[in-house]
Amino acid sequence: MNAKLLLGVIVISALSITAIIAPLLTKHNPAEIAIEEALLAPSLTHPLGTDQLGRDLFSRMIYGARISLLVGVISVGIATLAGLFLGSLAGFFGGALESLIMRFTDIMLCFPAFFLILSAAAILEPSIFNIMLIIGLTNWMPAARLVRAEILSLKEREFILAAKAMGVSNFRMISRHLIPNALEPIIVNATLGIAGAILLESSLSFLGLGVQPPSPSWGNILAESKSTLGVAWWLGLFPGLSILLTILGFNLLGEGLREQKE
Amino acid sequence: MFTYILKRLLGMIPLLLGIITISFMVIHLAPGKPTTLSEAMNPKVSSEARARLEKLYGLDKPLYIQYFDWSKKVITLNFGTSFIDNRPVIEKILERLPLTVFINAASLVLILFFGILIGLNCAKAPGSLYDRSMNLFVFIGFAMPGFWLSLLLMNFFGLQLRWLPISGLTSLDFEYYNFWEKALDLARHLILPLFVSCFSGLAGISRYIRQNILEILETPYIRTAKARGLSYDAVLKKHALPNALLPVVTILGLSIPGLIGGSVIFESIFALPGAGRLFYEAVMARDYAMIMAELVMVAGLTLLGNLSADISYAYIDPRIRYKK
Repeated sequence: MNAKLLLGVIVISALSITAIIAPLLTKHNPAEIAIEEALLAPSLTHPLGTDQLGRDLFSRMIYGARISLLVGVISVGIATLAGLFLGSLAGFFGGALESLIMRFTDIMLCFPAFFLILSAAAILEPSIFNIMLIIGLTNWMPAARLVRAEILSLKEREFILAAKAMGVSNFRMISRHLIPNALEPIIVNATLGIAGAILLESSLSFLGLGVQPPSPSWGNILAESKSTLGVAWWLGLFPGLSILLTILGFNLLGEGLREQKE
Repeated sequence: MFTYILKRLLGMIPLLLGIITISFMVIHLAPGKPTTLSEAMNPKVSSEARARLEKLYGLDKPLYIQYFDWSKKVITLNFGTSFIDNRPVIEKILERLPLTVFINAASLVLILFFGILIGLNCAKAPGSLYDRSMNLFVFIGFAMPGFWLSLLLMNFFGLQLRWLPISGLTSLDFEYYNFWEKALDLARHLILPLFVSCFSGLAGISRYIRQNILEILETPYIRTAKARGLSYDAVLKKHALPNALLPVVTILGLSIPGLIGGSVIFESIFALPGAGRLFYEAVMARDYAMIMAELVMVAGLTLLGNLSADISYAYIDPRIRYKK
C-alpha cells in the first residue's frame, strides 16, 4: 500500500466513523439554541466553540459531516450509474447511437457545472434529495467518456470474441464481461468525483441554495460565519478545514488507488 | 490552416444548437412553471395576474412552440426581457460580461505564467525541498474550496491587516481620482478575486507541466541535446519546455468552464458586478429569461475558448492541421 492510499484511507475512515457515531461523540443537540451561550470561544464544554445562536459548533460539524458524505457518495453513485449506462451503450453499439451520446456529452461539457447546478437549484426545491440528484445528473460526463473508452479497447480483446462465439447476449456481454473489466479506472474516477461533489454541495450550501438551515452543513455554517467575520474565528476556520481535509482525503484515496494499480 | 479553422467553425453549429436546447430544457422540463415560483414568492399575485404574466412570456403555449419561438429569438441574440426590471436581458449581460471575461482571461495568463515558473523549477530538481513543498501546495490547491479561501483572505487582508478592500470594484470616491489612482484602486479591488480564481487552476497546471518535462527529459532527443554538450539549463528551456507546453494549451482550454463556474462564487463573495454575480442574482430571483440567456452565453464562451485552444494548438503543432 503506498503512502497516499494509506493516508487517504486513514482520513476517510476517521471521517466516516465520526459521521456514523456522531450522537455518541457529543452530548449537545446540533439544533439546540441557547442565546446566553452565543459566540463562546472553544472550551472544554464546547470543544470548537458556539455559533451566534449558542449552538455547539462541534456537534453541528459532525452532523454536517453526515450530510456532506451522504451527498458526496450518493450523487457520485447517480453520476457513475448514468455514465456507465450511456458510456457502455456508446462504446458497445457504436454507430449513430454512439455519435448521438458522445455529442450530447460534448454539449453538456460546454456548460460550467456550477451554472447548470444553480439553474436546476433555482427551479427545484432545495431538499437534500434534489441536491444529490442535481449534482449527479450534471456530473456524469467524465464517467461516460471513460466507460466508452474502456469498452472500446476491451471490445477488441480475445476473451470478448470467445464470449461472442459462445452466443452471449449483448446485455450479459456488457454487464458480465465488459464492465467488470473496466471497473478499476471507474472506481478511481468515482473516488475523485466524491471530492468534487462534496465541494459542489458545500459551495451550493454556502450560496444558500443547498442544504437549508437549520440542518447543519459545512457550507451553510460558513455562510453564517460571514456575519461574525473577525469576531468569531472558530466559526470561519473549522468548517472550512473539514471541507479541505475531506476533499484532500478523497483525492489522496483516488490518486493512491491509481498509483497502486500501476 | 484556413480549411482547418473553417471545419472547426462548422463543427460548432450542432454544438451551439445543443447548447440552446439544453438551456431551454433545464428550465422547462422541471416540474412547475416559472410563474408559479414568482407567485410563491409573492402571495398577492392573483390568478388573473398570473394568466397575464403567462401570456406575456408565452407560457400558455405548448412547450414545443415556446421552444421554437425562443430559439428563433436566441439566434438573433434576443433573449427577451428580465423578470426583475423589464430591461432587455442581453443589455444587462453585456454590461456585466467584460469584467468576468477580463478576470478569467487574466487568470489564464497568470496560471500559465506561474505554472511554467513552478513546473520548470520543480522539474529541475525533483525531490528537492522546493519540489516537495510545491507538491504539498498542489494537493492543497486541489482541495481548497474557493469560497473558504475568499473568506480567509477577506478576513486576513481586509479585516485584520486592513490592507485591501473586501468588496466591490471601486472605492466610493472613485470618480474623483486621476487615471493612476483609478488604476491602483481597481487593482486593489481585483487582487484577491484574481488570486482565488487562479489558485486551484495553478495547482493543476504546474503539476502537469512538471510531470511533462520529467517525461520528456527521458526521451532520446534530449539525450542527443545533452550529448552535443548543451548546458542543462539550455536543454531544459530550449528543448524540453516547448514540447512540454504543447498539451498545456488543450488543458487550459478545458479548464475554462471551471474558471467561469468559479466566477459565480467569487463575484458573489467579493460583490463584483460581473456576469457571475448577475447569474446568482437571477437564480435567487428566479428570473428565468436571464437564467436561460446566461446558460447560453457561458456555454458559448466555453465553446469559443475550446475553439481558440484548438486553433492555437494547430498553429504551434503542424501535425494537427495536416492530419485532419
